[in-house]
Amino acid sequence: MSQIIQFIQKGRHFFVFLVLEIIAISLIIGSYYTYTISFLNSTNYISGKLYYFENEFSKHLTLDLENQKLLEENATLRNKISILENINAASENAVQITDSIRYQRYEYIPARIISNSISKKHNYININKGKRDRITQDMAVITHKGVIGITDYTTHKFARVMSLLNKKTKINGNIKSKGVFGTVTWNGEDYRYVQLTDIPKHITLEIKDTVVTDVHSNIFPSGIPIGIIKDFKLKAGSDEYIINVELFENFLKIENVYVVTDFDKIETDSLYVNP
Amino acid sequence: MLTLRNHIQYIFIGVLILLVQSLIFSNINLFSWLNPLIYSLFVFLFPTRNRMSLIIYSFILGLCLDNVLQTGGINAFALTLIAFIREPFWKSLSLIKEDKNSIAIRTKSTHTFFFSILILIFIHHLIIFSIENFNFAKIHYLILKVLLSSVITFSIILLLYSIFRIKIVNGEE
Repeated sequence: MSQIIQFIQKGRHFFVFLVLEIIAISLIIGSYYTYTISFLNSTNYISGKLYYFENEFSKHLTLDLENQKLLEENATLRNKISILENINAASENAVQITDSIRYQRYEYIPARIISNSISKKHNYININKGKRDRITQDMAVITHKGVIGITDYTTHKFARVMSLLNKKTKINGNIKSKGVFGTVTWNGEDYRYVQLTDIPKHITLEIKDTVVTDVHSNIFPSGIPIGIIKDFKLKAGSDEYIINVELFENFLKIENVYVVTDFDKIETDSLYVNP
Repeated sequence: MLTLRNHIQYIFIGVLILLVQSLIFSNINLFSWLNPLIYSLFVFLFPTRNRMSLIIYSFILGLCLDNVLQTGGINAFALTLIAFIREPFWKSLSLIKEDKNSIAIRTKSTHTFFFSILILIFIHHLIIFSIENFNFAKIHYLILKVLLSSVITFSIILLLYSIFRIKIVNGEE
């Protein structure tokens, strides 16, 4: 008995080390190979506050750029409005039909990014809107240039967004000119490119075709731009393409985003759940 | 043994390193992927002959970093590992004297100390990058990343040592 105690005492450093490493390994496995949220995420109170204060300081450094972006966005929106006004004026003397079909499906909530990363394989973004701003799980996050990610965890004041630059993220993409759809994923290498897969071989692709989100996605509104085709090659041993898509949005420099509320989400989701 | 004052001191240093790492060094994005992991400095600062406290403190610091940087346990794993191998490694390089009465030779040990730091940083980076990739198909790319990243981290730590005139830890206490 005393020998056992002596043995443990002699190697106590090693045993403590072993226990701690096992805890760490189980946390790693938990965070990587399952989709559950571990308690180690930075949306919690302290780290949320930390990033919030950092952002309070650093947001003043990029005001110029952000102003420029907002101006550009305003210009495109104004152009769209003028086109729509023309169409309305041209159509039969503005007969307004109030119908339940005509209603707002999407609502855009502005939010600000408080922390972002691009250098890891599983990148997450934190934004400064949470449950109190009606943000829930699985909502689309976009800018006017393109797709950013999907919210995956919310607290009262903050939300965590699974960035498009995350190996777990999968969204439906569509080549605009061809109308074929595939899956957009990221291979974890370059933050400027994502990969579009599941496009069959018989389709002729062209460089610089635009890739947008698909109608089949029940998270993203259809037609949100993602990027343009940079190059493509056939996947070895299969009849599908792997297409490199150059992103419109520079993930290093995003500050302001929109979170999209889909008022039809419960209805569309119920189609997937019910057999 | 560590006194209460020492404990407070090292908790303070830990918090400082956490803040510096998460707010400054994790946002550098050199070549779009390189972020120096200077937090391993904590392991080199800790006094010797307190192996148990070092291991536990390193684990806690690693967990906090994982929480803030959203890396889910990798930092805790790597930091605990280098905290564990630090003492035997330094003993093998005779940076720590087994006998308390013997005098460590300062001039010679400075070079050895920084050499040992370089090796430990390299091991630390190797673990972190290989767990994060979990793919040895592009091993040359991985090794290049690890080498470049650890050299830059080492030079930053060297710079911090010389700017703040941090005393080198050895067995004398």
